[in-house]
Amino acid sequence: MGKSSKDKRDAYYRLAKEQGWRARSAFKLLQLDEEFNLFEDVSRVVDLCAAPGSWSQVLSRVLIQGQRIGRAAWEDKRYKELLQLRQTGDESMQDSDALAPARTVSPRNDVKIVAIDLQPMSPLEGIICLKADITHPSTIPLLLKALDPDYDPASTSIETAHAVDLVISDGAPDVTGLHDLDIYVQSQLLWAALNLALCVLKPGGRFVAKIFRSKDVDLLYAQLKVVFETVAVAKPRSSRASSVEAFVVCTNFRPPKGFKASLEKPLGAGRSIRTSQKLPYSQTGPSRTIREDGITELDLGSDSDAEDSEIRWIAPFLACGDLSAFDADASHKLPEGHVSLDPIQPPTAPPYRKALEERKKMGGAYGKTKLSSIE
Amino acid sequence: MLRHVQHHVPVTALAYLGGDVILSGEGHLLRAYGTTIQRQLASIATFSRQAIHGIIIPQREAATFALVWGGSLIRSVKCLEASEGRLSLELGSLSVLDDWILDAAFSPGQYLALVTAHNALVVTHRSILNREAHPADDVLMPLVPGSNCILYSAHIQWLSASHCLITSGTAFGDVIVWSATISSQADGKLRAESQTHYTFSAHDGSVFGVRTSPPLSSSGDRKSLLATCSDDRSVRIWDISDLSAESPSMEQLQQETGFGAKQTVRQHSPNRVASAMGHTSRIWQVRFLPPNVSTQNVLQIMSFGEDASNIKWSLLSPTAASTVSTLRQDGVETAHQGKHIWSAAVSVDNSIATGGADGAVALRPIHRRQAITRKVDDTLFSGPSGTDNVKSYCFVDSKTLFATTAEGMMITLRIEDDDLPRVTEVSPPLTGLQKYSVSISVSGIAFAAGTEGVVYMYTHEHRRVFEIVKLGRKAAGLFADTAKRPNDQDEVCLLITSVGCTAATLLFLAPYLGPNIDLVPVLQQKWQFALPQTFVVTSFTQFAVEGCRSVALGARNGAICIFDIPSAHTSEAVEPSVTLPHLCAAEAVTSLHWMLDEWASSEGYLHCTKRDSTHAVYSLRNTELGWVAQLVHQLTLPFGPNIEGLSFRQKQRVCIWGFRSKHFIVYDVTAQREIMTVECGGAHRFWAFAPADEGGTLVWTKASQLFQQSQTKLAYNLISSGGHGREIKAAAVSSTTPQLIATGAEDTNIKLWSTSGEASLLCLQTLRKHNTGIQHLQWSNDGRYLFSSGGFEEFHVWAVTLDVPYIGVGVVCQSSHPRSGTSDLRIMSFDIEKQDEVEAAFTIVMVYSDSTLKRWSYNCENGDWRLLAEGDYLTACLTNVHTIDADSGKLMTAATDGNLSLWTSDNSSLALRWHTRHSVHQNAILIAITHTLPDGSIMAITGGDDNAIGITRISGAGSEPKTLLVSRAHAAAITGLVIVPAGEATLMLASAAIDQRVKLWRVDLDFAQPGVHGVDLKFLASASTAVADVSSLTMLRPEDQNARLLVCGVGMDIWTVGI
Ligand SMILES: C[S@@+](CC[C@H](N)C(=O)[O-])C[C@H]1O[C@@H](n2cnc3c(N)ncnc32)[C@H](O)[C@@H]1O
Repeated sequence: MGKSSKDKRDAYYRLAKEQGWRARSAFKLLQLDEEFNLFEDVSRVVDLCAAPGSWSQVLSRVLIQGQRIGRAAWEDKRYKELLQLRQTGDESMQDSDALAPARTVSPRNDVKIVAIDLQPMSPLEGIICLKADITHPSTIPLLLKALDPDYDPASTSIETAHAVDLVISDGAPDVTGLHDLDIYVQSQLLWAALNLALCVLKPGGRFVAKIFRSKDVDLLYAQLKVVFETVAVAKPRSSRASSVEAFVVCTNFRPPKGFKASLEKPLGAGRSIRTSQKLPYSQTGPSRTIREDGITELDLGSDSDAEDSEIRWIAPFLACGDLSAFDADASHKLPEGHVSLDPIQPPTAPPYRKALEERKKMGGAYGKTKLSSIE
Repeated sequence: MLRHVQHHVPVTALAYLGGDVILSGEGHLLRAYGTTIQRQLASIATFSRQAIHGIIIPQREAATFALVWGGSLIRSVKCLEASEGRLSLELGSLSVLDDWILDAAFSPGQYLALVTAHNALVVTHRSILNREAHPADDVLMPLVPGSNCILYSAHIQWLSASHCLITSGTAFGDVIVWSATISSQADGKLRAESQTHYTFSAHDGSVFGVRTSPPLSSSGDRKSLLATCSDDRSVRIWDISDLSAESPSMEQLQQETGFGAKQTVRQHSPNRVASAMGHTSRIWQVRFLPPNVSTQNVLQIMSFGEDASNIKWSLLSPTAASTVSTLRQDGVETAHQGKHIWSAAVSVDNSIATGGADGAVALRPIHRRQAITRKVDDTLFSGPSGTDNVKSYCFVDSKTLFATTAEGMMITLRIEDDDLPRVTEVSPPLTGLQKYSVSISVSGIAFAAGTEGVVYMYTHEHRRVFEIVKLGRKAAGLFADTAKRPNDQDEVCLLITSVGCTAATLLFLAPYLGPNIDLVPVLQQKWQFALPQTFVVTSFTQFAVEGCRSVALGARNGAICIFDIPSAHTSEAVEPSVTLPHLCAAEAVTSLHWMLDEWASSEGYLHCTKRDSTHAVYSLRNTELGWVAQLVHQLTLPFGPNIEGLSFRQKQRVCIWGFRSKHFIVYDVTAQREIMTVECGGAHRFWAFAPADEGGTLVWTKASQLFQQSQTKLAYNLISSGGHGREIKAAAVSSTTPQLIATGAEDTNIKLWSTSGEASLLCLQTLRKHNTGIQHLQWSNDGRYLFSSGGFEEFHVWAVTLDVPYIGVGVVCQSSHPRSGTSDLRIMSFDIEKQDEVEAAFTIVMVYSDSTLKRWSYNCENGDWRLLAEGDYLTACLTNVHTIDADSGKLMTAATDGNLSLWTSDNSSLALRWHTRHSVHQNAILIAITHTLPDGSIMAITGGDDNAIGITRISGAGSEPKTLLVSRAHAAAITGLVIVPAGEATLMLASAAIDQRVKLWRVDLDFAQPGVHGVDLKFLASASTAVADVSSLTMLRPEDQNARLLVCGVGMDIWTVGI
């Protein structure tokens, strides 16, 4: 056994292969949807940083094909069995599927899905795939044109007549290991996604984006809170507890009066949405409530940590994916007779693949680098 | 309330302040080190929470101030020379930009230029740095606006007082070379005119480093070059001499093509001069090295990588053989641990510094004379015919090799640093030494023996050879040692083993005033030792304890025997008095060294090196009942398996040498670093090594030829080294005095540290045994045992002994759990309890990543492991376990499903069952600690992935646990919690999270009230730590009455809590 510290292949990796998802990320979106009902009344969606395309697959199956993908897709059957074993005679155990809200199961009308990534993406029926950099302004007219074939790129307008209901972004840079830099680059991707969302999202629309929960993440939350009524941070069960990754789920888009998305001055580099010095939330003192489940929750309020002038706000946290979902951190015994399938989508070649091949040609050592496979 | 004491974090910026001082950015601290004294001179917090990413020193003002930046902040720092090598640092004004800063440069005139991650250029008058105060919202705005494409690297170079050249590297492999001319207008405002020269796709991955060369004089047409490095593992050189070239800007190109520069026509690219690969992973930086006569003014660059190494390259002009320029790799050096060189600086006086993720700063001269391997030609000693060659050899002094040849000749070779050795014949060919011979030396004296069993002695002082004994059998091995006699004369001990003989012969030789008035050792005493069966001697040492003399012999099968020399002479073979207990593999003992304990004269330490990669130390006590031996230390070295020898250097330093694949390695155990590396072909050869302070001389045989290489100076010096090469995952503090900190990291190593006050953290030992990242560490209450767990079910028990002379702390891996390495399960955490009945036995509960837990019993005396009970949780990974009541076996676990569970075991069965499962957090519980309240109830304090702190009160049987949950306690996952001793009625709690905050809370307790009605939490203080990816928070022993906190993650950070 070599030196390694993480087993890369967890239950979700296996499920993704079995269920034909291009990446295990699909479960993150599905579990976010389960909690937030993201696809309710949604027919027009922009999927940013979409390659290899598992989120687009989810959109395709749910919106175009009208499938209902319930938690059965990621449920660990052992969980209930084990729990029932313990709690025989306890009525509190009900079938969770019976509790799940009934959802529309028919294909929707006027579905429009645009997926954008830097990397080429294998086509998916009914989805427009664009190869572009979401941080670049030239992507905005590209996107507008894709959403609305009548859009005139010559016009300086960057607002679409055909707004979308939902913008999702799973973008992540190749992390370097220099934490500050990685956080900065990730926040730039988030700004870029938000910038695009500001151009295409209809009032009341939703925005979901990957975020690194680390230093100064509260500054980002505070900014998002300016343009959305609710901002929550969510961690799907399929995302490892040990990773900094989480998703901001923002609903009810309500751009401040007089706010206009701008091509020349995008958000991010230097421009924040600080339309006024007002805090994006009302100042609250400590509150102590007894929740239904018996837990006494203490919210120390917003002014607990006013040590600098910057506006910080901590978005409420929501875990999603029922407890019966497979645990991304746990090691799992494979079910009897399980056959491993190959990934259906080969991973996109990392830039160093060429280097490795060249090295191999020269008869050199591989070094420590391994070709990565699907996440 | 929280005061920062010190930290050890990645070095993210470096700059030389003149030749003797280097400034280094470590988190938000700017530190100054003396380059010759290699000590910290000063340290100052430059920003409140922002880490330093760059430092520059203006060239004009002979090193009086520095500009420091990090994120979008810049600050000037005055560097004042105080008395006697001391420096004081003073903060100047703070300014802010509207974006992340990638590079900065002072012009030869009045300006300071900065470039941002969106390729904007900010230029200001330097005078703004002298302003007293600065309004917080006054942002320095770009003079040349940026693009929207994100850069990973940039470099600014002033070509004149008003003209600067900017090179920028993007995330997508493009490079833009542009320049700006700055002018002052009547109203004092600055104006810039910019021009793009080149826009091209330079690499297949992100461009992490760009650097333009200083103006070149000697390279013909080439006036200036550009070096780039990338994700794609290549370093490339481009000719950007022609700055009249004009290219459309990135914007224009992208607007035209819609996307990226990939489609750009070639005409906007400069000529690619050369490209090369050398690093095993991503390359972060490149630097041009100042030209030097020793390199014949060949242009050299250095690259710095994720692989923690730096490579020197020479740019070779086209030759007859190759029509293009090439980059020749001149040397790879790995001075840092683990991963990442984050920073580098080149000084004016030709030295280069690197800063690593391991927190170390490495300093080395750029143009060090390369150690060269010399071939010692046989013709040097066998005449023009060249038929003779060297058979065996050893050093008689640090520079003189004594050798026997195939023809039976004895010679000496005087090793010269810059030349071939000078050969002297000390004896004409002797038939007894022909074809086969062995030799050994102690300082100034060498011995040789051959097929006939005649032993010859050569004394270097007199350059004479004596025959000392005839054994009549072919000599198999010679071993020698010296002893100080009471009369202060050195006595020489020689041990001879013979082929086909089960006894070894020991000779004592003492200097004797011979007839020719020379002090020549002569044979005084002779003993025979009876060797146990299959005992092939491979090492030998002699020692005296309270007047009694003893000998230790090491064998090829790993055994070590002690023989006591009888007081009266006997012709009978002496039997071994004791055979030492040995752990680990049956590999050869290659060297033995005796160190007397200065304080207890009946006690001493026997050091040995073995071919199982280890260095071991036994403590030996001479009692009335004979020898009592105990293995106090045995650790695996970072090379081997062939560890061959050891020397004690001045100031209590231990140096060990041996082989790693094709290299001979000399390692300083005290400094925990390699000090010499020689490529010699590997372990299976004849060789001899003479250690010196900063290296030594190695002579070796390769393909029947003799080679030599010497090193007199360290290749690099290290400041504040010893850190982990990857992030720390677990930490535990011992209860001993001095207090030991154990840290376990993703680099699979465990390190033991000491710290006191402001003194920097000192790494004492590195424990290498795990093959996976460390999950959990715990000390026994008495600090004598450390327990560690990792992936693959790895679990080890380490016995720790304080105050072992020369090595400080002795560590032995006493036992590994029998299931170690048998599956891919992680042992997420565990809890240990000492068993009452047995002297040294522990009950250990382990929780596994597959939702199971097991309780084991481990007996330190006999190494016995026994399964006591096991249980199954549900499907979630268990993250923590605590023994609530050792007697009844009650446990509490925490899991990734956010639940705390209480477990019992009934004594009749092996089963552990949870009876209460209590939901506290929405997502994983990452840390759980317990505290017993005066009424006997337990308070479990938990930190979650959901940013919340839970306080759960667990009262006696029957009552449900009750929880007070503080949501939004941090902005990100909480990974560290510790109770800070405070007054009686209140409790202080400290928490740490991956939002890089440490917070202090007051817990008010009225435990007369039921559940958590009487529990309240108040926020007290918050501070920001430079440690990213925080994984643990622990308490250090209070100093000056103040509690101290240790935060671990990517680095280590210490705070005091003022109460
Ligand atoms: C984690 S993957 C997304 C996986 C995807 N959601 C799925 O389910 O298959 C992140 C993607 O972000 C893309 N990306 C990173 N930076 C980008 C940028 N500036 N513009 C567009 N895509 C980007 C990467 O190419 C990568 O494919």
